[in-house]
Parts: sequence; structure tokens; C-alpha cells
Amino acid sequence: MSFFHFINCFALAFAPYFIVYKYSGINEYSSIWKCATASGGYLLTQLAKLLIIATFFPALDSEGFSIVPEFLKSSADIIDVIGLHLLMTNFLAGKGEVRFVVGGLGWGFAHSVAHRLVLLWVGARGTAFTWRWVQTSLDSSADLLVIVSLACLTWMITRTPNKFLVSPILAMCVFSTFVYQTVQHTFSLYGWSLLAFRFAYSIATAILTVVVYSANRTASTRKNE
Amino acid sequence: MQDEIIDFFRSPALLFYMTLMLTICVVNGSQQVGEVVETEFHAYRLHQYEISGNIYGCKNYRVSYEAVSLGARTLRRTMVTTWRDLLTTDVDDMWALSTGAVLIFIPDNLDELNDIDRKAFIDLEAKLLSAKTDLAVYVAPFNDDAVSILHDVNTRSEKAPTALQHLLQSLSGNTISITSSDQSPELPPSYKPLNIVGRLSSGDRAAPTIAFVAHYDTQSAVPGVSPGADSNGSGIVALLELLAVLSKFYDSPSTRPPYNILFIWTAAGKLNYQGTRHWIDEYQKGFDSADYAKSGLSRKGFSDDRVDLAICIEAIGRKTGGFFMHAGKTPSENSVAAQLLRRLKYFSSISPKKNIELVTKKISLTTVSAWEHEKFNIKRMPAITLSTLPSPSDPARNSILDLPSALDEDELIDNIRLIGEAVLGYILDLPESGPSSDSRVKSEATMLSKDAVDKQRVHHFIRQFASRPRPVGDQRATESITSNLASVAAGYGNVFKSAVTITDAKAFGVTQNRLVAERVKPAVFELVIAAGVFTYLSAFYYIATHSQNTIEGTVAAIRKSIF
Repeated sequence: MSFFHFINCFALAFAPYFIVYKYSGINEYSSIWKCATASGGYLLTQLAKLLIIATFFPALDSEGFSIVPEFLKSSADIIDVIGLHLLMTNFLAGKGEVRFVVGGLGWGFAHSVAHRLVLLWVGARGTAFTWRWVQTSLDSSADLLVIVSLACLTWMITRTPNKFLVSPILAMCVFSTFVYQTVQHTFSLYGWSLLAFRFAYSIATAILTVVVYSANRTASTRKNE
Repeated sequence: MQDEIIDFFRSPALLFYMTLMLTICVVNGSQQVGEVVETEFHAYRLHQYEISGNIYGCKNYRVSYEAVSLGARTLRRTMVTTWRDLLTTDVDDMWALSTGAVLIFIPDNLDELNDIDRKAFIDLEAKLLSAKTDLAVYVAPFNDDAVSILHDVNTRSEKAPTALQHLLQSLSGNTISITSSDQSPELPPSYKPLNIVGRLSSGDRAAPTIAFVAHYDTQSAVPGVSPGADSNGSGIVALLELLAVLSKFYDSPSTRPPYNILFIWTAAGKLNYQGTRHWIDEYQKGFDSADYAKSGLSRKGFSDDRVDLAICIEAIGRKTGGFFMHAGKTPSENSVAAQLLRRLKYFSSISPKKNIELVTKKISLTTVSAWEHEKFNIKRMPAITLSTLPSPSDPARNSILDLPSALDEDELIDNIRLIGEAVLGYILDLPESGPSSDSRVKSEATMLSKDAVDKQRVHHFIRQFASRPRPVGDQRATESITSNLASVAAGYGNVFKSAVTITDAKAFGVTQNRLVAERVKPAVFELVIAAGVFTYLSAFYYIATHSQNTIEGTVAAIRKSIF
């Protein structure tokens, strides 16, 4: 592999965010700085989350994958919901749909940069070829679906009387990392099979979010009528 | 509101937070388990040396080539194979190439070869010994990584049944790239291995001298893996044990023999006995060189030494059924060598029941010396070589299979005792044929007790000095063994060192290297990936441009149909 491979992986990881922002129409309703604000909110939330993880979830001495400690550790991702809520309520402007799409895009972009940029820079320019970096870059698209769904559900959880419909899907988004790890260790999925599972999980989450959103819109319309 | 956001982003604390967060998030990023993409293994280089202008072995050590299988074109490539495949293939055309590398996998445990494999392995060694090539030739022990490397290389070399499959394989097939790390430095020009000389002094200035000589270096087709346990590890051990045994007689003036004894461990014996030649040159110059002055010993004490006989010991640890004294010509009846031969025969006819033979070989001044004693004979000094090998061309002398497990410790101990008895009988002027010529007297004449040759000490010496490779090209190993030899010998007698200048020959370093094998794709494969990325992003673009309408339509449809 070479620097050209790094360019390939870089484009594969980050170009989807640019494409979604530029060509989905969201740029007509909001400016790029709103996405930058969302990215900043992501970083601050990660700082708070890491402080809480370091305080309440010390590293275990036992090796191997344990479900209960990993589940408790993944529950720290609830802070992401709180951070997104504060971000969309106080720092973003416009209609609700604009807020959660812009917030999700900025949040997801920061998430991808934090998780993949240094890894790609260090690994993808090596000599030996492996599909790992291509898979890591494709994960970015799956994460985009999950994070935008998370933003939408976070927005709806505080603005709809039908919370029992929103909560399960929100839990799917919050604990997606835990689900990935459990499936990876339980069924020994690696490489392309794990990537396929992540895409299937993300698409399912997105579809369920659209359904719940439709239900929410129906309820609002009836209330207005 | 917007001004507050701009002020917030201008804050340096935010920049610090972003830097910190990026660093921490990377550490906590999800690590995906990937397959192993590179393997690293230790490889040992084919020998390289030069004697009298003749260059032997492989001349290069750098590897930075793609791996191919046996039979493929090897120019600017690394041919990877196993030792059995190499043995059954004619590789003369390959040796003639000017650029490339060869990597041969051998068994990782050579002790487990059966007899048929052992003979085949000796044939492989003969093949490698006769190789003269510009390629970098390496030998590596076989392991699990070697299986996958050989599999990929052989898969790559198989011809595809159709042109289309061949094209696809050229575009996206895996290849193995092998690179050497080249961490071992070449030998510095000032590199001089050391001779170690131990001395037991009789106290009499005019006393004659007996010298025991053994070279301590090893050599084989692949010097880095050959411990040379018998040739000449057994010689090292024999000299140490003889020094330990005979030094007891020199402790007290009442038991001191009227002879001085020298124990000389010589360097670069496999390079035409450079250490021996150096010692003889210094000896005949009267020890005027500065090396001896630095040792602090009395110069006058050594200049009077007269060497009556130099006993070279090599390869006496193998049970061959015989024990041979090699000489340039038949010694005359009253010479020291003849007396020693008679004493060896006498002692060997008692308990060990060994066949002592004299082997004479005419000494050639123009070729490489076959045995170490020839260096003394060329300078008109009496010398012999004691060995269990009948011929200097025995392949066991330079074999990789000369392992510590091939040593017979009992045989070595018996031979050490035999040499000690014979030499001790000579220097103490005991009767050659026993205590009496009367056939009615049947007693044995022995000066050494049963425990004089200590079995545990011999075992310790073998483990310390005869178990690891020590080619003259490996500077670290050579310096390590010379310092250890000097410290052990200093416990029994006076010891000093002498730096050997290698002339008319040249040793080369880099006896081992670390090779890294990586799986790589052809460079054009990146274009294939780029096309895939472009296709994916195009699909993403299409979905994104229609996402608003699609989602709105879907939401409306769901509202109508469900609710």
C-alpha cells in the first residue's frame, strides 16, 4: 500500500459527510458553522464521557470479553444523548428537522475524525496490504446512519407523547457499540462479515427511525387538527 | 448569539480541548482485529569468505524483493523454497544471477532428522558449499509463518487456466515482499580476533616446551546456525580439560615436570588457520611485538621457549572407531612424535581399546592447509594433529549437523585422558612399554587417577564453549568466547591474548539478518480500489441528492397507510 491508498481510505471515510451536507439540501437551511458547532459539542461531550468512564469504570484485571461490565461501560454513551440534546436545544437554530440533521452530521463527522484519521494516517500508508483500512473507512458510512438516527430520536424523545415508541430505537442507537462488540465476540465476526452486520444494523436503525418519525408527525398533525 | 459562538471558538482553551480530545478518542477508538499482514523471522546467511583471492559463498546480504517460488525467474526477486525442493532442483542457473535473493527453509530442530534425511541434508550442505553467487542467500528455520508464505508464493506461481483469470490475478493477486532490516553491521576494517595462550611453567629457563593447539571458531555452509560442537568445540574442551588436569602437577615444585606446556586457542582456524600462522610468526620473531609487552609478563621467560612438539587437537569428540595422528611424514624413531605415538598405542591397548593409526599426508605449500599442524611443518617445526576423523575432507568437519547432540561425551573424555596420559608419560620420562619389560609383570602404569578427567567439568565446558555458533565473521560471538576462554583458563595458569591480523584471507560479517515478509498488492490494484471508492461515493451522491424527496415521500406514505 502507499500514500495513494491512504487517499482512497480518506475519501471513503469522510467524503460521505461532505456529500450528504452538500447535495442533500441541508446546506440551504444551515451554514457550515452550525456543523462546526456540533463538532465542538461532540468533543466536549467526549471529554465529559471519558471523565465518567475513568471514574466509575476502571479497567478490569480479567482478560477476555465480559458482557455485564461492557454493558455498563456502554451505558456511558447515554451522555451522548444528553450532549446532543443540549447542543440542539441551545446552540442550533431553525426547525427541528434542520437541527437534528445538522447536529447529526457535525457529530458524526467529529466522531469519524476522532476514530479514524490518525488510524488511517498511521496504518494505511504502510507497505503491507490489508483490507482492514478499507473496512474501517466503510464503517464511517454506517456510523453516519446511526448517529443521524440518534440525533433524530434525541430530538423526538423530548417532544412527543409517544415515548414508548422512541425509547427502544434510541436504546438501539445508544448501545450500538455494545451490540457490535458482543456480536463480534459471540459469533466471531471479523472483517467483511462484521462490516456487513454493521451496515445491516445501521440500515435497520434508520428505517425504524423513519417509521417512528412518521408516527410522531401523524400525532402532531392530529393534535393540530 | 452568533458573537458568543465566535468568541467561544476563539478561546485557546477550546483548541486545547480539541487537541486533547482527538488524542484520547484515538486511543479509545474501536480497534478492529485484522489478519496478520507481516511476519518477521531470523535468517542466517550463506557463508562468505575469501582465501588467496578466491571468493566463496554469497557476496550480498541485502534483500528487498518480491518473493517467487522455485523454478520462477529469480532476477531481482527472492526465491523462497524448502530445503528438500532445493535439493532436487538444478540451481546452477540461479546462482549465476547478479541481483536477487534466496530464502531456504530448513527444519527448526535438526536433531530430529532421521538417517535418510540426514544424508539428504549433508547433500544439501555440499550443494551450498560449492555455491558461488552474487545473490543474498539465507537459511531460516521452518515455522508456522513459513507455511503461509510458501502457500502464497506457490499459489502465485501457478499458471491460471484462462487469460482472464491470469489478468485478474495480475491485477489483484497477493504477493509477498521480503525485506531485510540489515541491523548487523559489517566487520570493521580494524577487526582482529584474538589468540588465547595459556602457559604452565616448569620454572626452568632452558626447559623444552610442548604446545597444545586448537582453533576455536566454527564454519559451515551457513555459519550462523552451525555450533561446531565437534570441530572444533571438542578441541576447545580438550585443551581446557588438559590444562585443568596438568596444572595440578605444576602446583608444587616436587611434582613439577621439567617441561613447559602451552595451550593455544587460535582464531580463524577455518580461514586457513590464521591464528596459528600468526602465533608461529610471533614465535619465530622472538615475541618482540607490543602485544606481549602489554601483557605484563616477563619477555625473557618466553623467548627461551623451544617447542619440541605442537599437538593440534581437532574433532576428537565423535565415535568413529579410531583415533588418528595426522603428520606430514612418518616421524623418525627417536622423535617426540614417534614417542608420543608409541605411548598413545600403549595406553590405548589397556582400557579404552582404541585403534591408533598414523596418517601421513604430503604438505602442499600452494593450497589451503588441510590440518592445523601443517602450519607448523611449513615453518619447520615438529607438529601433529590428533583427531577421530581419518580424512581432512570428511564432511563432518564443516557440517551444520555438528551439533552438541552429536558429541559423544564418553568418547571425548576417553580421548582427553588418553592424550593426557601419553603427554604426561613423555614429559615425566616414564617407560614407554609399562613398568617393566618382563612379560611376567602385568601392572598398569598410569599417572592420572580415575577422577582426574572430571565428567561434570567436561560437560560444563561443552555447554559453555561448544554449543553456540562462533564463526569468525560474527564479531560479538568471537569476542564473547575469547573473553570467556581467557577467564576460565586464567583459573589454571598464566593467560595472555594476542590480536590476530588476518592476511591472505578475509572474513565477512552479517552472518544473520532479520527478514520481514509482507503481503502486498500490485500497484495497479490501488486504481481498482479507487474505482470502487468512486463508485461507492457516486451511489452515495445519488442517494443524497434524492434523500429529501425520498424521506418525505416515505413519511407521507407511512402516515397514510398505517395511521
